[in-house]
Amino acid sequence: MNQPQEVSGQVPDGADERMAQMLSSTLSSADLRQQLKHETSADAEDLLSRIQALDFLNSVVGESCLLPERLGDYQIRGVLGRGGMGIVYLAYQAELEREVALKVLSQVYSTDSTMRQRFRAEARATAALHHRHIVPIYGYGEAQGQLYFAMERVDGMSLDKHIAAARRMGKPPMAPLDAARSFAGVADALGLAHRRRLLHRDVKPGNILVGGDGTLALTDFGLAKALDQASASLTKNSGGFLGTLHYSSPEQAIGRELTPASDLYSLGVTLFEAVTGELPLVGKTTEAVLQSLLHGMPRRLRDLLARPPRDLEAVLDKLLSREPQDRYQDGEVLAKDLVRVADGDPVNIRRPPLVLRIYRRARKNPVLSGTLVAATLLLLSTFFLLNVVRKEQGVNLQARQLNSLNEAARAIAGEAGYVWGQSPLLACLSGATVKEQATGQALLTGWIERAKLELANDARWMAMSSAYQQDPLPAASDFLRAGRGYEALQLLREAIAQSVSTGGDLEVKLRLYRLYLASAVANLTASVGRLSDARTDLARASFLRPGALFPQALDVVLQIADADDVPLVLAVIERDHLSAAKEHRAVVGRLLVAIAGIENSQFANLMSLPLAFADRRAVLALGRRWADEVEVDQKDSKVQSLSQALAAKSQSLVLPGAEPGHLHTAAMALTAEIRRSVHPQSLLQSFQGLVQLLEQGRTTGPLLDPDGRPLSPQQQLSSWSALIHLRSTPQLLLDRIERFDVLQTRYPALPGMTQIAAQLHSAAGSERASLLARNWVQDQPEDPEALYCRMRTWLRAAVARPELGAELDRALDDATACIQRAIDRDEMLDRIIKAWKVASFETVSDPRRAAIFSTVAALRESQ
Amino acid sequence: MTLTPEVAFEQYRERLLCVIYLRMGPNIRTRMDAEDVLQDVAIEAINSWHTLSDPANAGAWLVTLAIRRVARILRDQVGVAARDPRRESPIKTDFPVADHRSGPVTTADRKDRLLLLSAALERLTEDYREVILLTKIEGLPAKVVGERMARSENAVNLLLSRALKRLSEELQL
Repeated sequence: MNQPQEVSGQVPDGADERMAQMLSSTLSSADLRQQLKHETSADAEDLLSRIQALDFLNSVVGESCLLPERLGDYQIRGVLGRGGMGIVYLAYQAELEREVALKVLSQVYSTDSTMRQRFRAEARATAALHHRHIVPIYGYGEAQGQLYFAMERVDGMSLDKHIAAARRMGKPPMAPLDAARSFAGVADALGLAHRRRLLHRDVKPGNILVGGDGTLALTDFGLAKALDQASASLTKNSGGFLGTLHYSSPEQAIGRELTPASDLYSLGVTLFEAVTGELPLVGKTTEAVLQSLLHGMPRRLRDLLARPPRDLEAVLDKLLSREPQDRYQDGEVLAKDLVRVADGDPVNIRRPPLVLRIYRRARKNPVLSGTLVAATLLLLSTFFLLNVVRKEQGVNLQARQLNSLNEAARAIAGEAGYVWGQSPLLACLSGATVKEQATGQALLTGWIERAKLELANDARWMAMSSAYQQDPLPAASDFLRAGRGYEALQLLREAIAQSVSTGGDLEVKLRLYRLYLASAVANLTASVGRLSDARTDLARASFLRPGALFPQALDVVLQIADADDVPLVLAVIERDHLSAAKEHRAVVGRLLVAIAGIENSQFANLMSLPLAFADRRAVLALGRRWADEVEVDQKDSKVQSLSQALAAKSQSLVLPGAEPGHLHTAAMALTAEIRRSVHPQSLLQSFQGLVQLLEQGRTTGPLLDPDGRPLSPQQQLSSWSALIHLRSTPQLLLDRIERFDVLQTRYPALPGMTQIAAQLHSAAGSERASLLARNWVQDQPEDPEALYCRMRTWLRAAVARPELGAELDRALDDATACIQRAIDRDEMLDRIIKAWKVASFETVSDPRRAAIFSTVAALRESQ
Repeated sequence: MTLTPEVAFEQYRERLLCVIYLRMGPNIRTRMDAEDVLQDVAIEAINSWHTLSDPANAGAWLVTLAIRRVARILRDQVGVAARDPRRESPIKTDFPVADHRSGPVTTADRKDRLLLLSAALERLTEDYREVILLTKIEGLPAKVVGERMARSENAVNLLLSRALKRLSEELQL
């Protein structure tokens, strides 16, 4: 028995049964809707909601599985394509014995009066145009509740399929001159439509058909709009963006009034794609495309083709102008120009003046131009300093050069850490432009080239440059940017294995740091998404470069991923970053925005974490707050002002007769640090802090910026670090050490605090030096600088005491350990010997002096 | 006109994608993309097109291929140690603006609808979900569904009718 009760034990109500009946019959939902139109009962409402659910299901699945057999006079034979509004069937008109393309409004919209009107408008618009390059319409009608119109069946495919096929084969879809000739027809067709006061509004490859003989025909006036009629409101009122963004003109994208020039812009994009196989504007997200549409410059033919026809390029440049008035206004004129291009006749197009072009270029890439200017100024200021130093100490030129190259080596090390630690890796997560990286690389290559010239025989340079040139990171980051995380990982793993096996000096250590960092980033990308591996890689990177900021920023992502209580962890993170530089916070902020995944973040490649919605919101709020602290637009001017200020400051410091050697070292230390810093602006402030430290003697209180506000603790610490690098006299340091101690008491856990405290106290010869040095060694037992610092405190202790103690032995132990771990052993040995010599002069006890001398001799021998 | 596998596939594309997506379930979805599985089905369809006896059955045949494919994936996943879901993240493959087949709005909209539907289906009871999947997504006739679910044809329609009501509530239509 087919008792309804068997369903779930409940008695079916009227609506249940009526719906079941409808489902078992052949009635369409449109029919039932029609029936229900006049009913007002609760049942009707219930039924309507079920029908809506049914329509929803149908809209998800697409059209019904069954092809209708007939529609009006037409016999359906297959499906040619699908669009937003419905299906295009291949149909046969028996009376006229011809095949037609039958466009049918989707059933989902069959009761939607707006869509019906729009469908009818399309048919009317197309029927009004007779042109060889517009697909003609044969008839219009309604059958079985479905609206349709019949068009000529073009035996071919749509241009987008043609382009896609060519792209798969890796060749350009059309030869430039052929394309010019074919597109002339379409341009002329658009000209006709425009003269009939009709805009197409959706010109794109999908709406252009390629016939068997290669002629193009425009179709799908689905969005067409009369230029001046009342029906104009039809497509406007429905709201939302109509058309396809990649092919839409800037004015269409932002909803401004459209003109014939807008259609011609879209045609230009289509022509560009047909010739090159690529779009003039690229972007992975809708936002990115919109951004480049409104603010970027389209690519040119020469960017993609080896030898593009210049006239065609000029035509395209004109077509793709951002301002409508700069473009062609008339399809017919464009058609004539295109024919001229195809025939090889000259085209008379005036190029925009040079100034305008430069301005547009600069606007296209403000970051690059800003960075270039800044980098040039920075280099100039550095060389200016170098020159002063050279003039003053001409005799020691050779030694100076060696020294400066050593510093440059550090700078390169720092640069490498900066280049690969910051922007490009972030760019890999964000899909940002590659230009920044190119600048960094150019800088690096410049350094290396210079080093090669000046010190051609030094094997270290060769090793370093070859290591850089065989760097897997550019390739890996290309993979990352393309979302191919696994391939990047594989590349990095191989490189890591290779580096680990080759030893442990400077280059390898840095290389490993960068590789581990990149590997961590790869593991965090959406395509890989391995948190635990990312964690291991980050830990390794932090071990290799303690205190580096970028690993810390990425670590925040991991902290949130691990969190049981996200708001609590966020609070902790916020507290930890209170004293961080604003720019560092901005980096973390942008990562947070990306993790939140609510906003369409530019960090498209970052893996999304499984977070509850409330947590996401909290993450987003914090991220946005931090990201907004730094205004992107001001960045360039800051970079520029930094280099200018550096140059000015350097001059003012050099002129009063300061000791050039010291200034040189300080400047070098600063340039090295500039590359390590998250943002150069903070370094400028550190530099200002240093000037304050030099100018003010016994002053207390924090270092201040020009506005009188305290600098961030990190910046203050950098200023102190620069002061040490200046090799200041002990007295100068002793005068200021109280001020430092206040900073240390307030921020004992600041990264680098232990180190700088120990160095400062040790250089000043203070009593706390030995304690601080021991702390430092305890913190970083592998750091040769820490061991060196402790050695010096042992030496000082030995010198200060009249009787012979164990201090000298300990100092010798430290010296040995220090040399073993040093990056540049010769240099370290020199420094150690110097320190011991100084100790030997200071000591008053003869046996001790003898002991020191024998040790120095032994050290020399080992050298 | 003879039906080619490409045409048939294009015709049932959306339906197949739905079948695959919904049958995959949330766990597999996190590590595999329905579009990829769809590609596999397309290849399989082209290779075994000759086994299709009647072109009129192409839709049902393709759906069966898709279901089998997903079943195989599910079977292969059994016995694989459970992975920490926190390590998993969906693979983002949608670059809406690059889709030439239909406008970005349509694609995004369809994707949204599919997500909505799958979420709503998760909240339905087992038999409601099954009846919707079998009849409306996989497109089986009520008689066949009845045999599958050990119910009469009428009962299937009644069940579907109720399921639609629940679904409309879940979707807040």
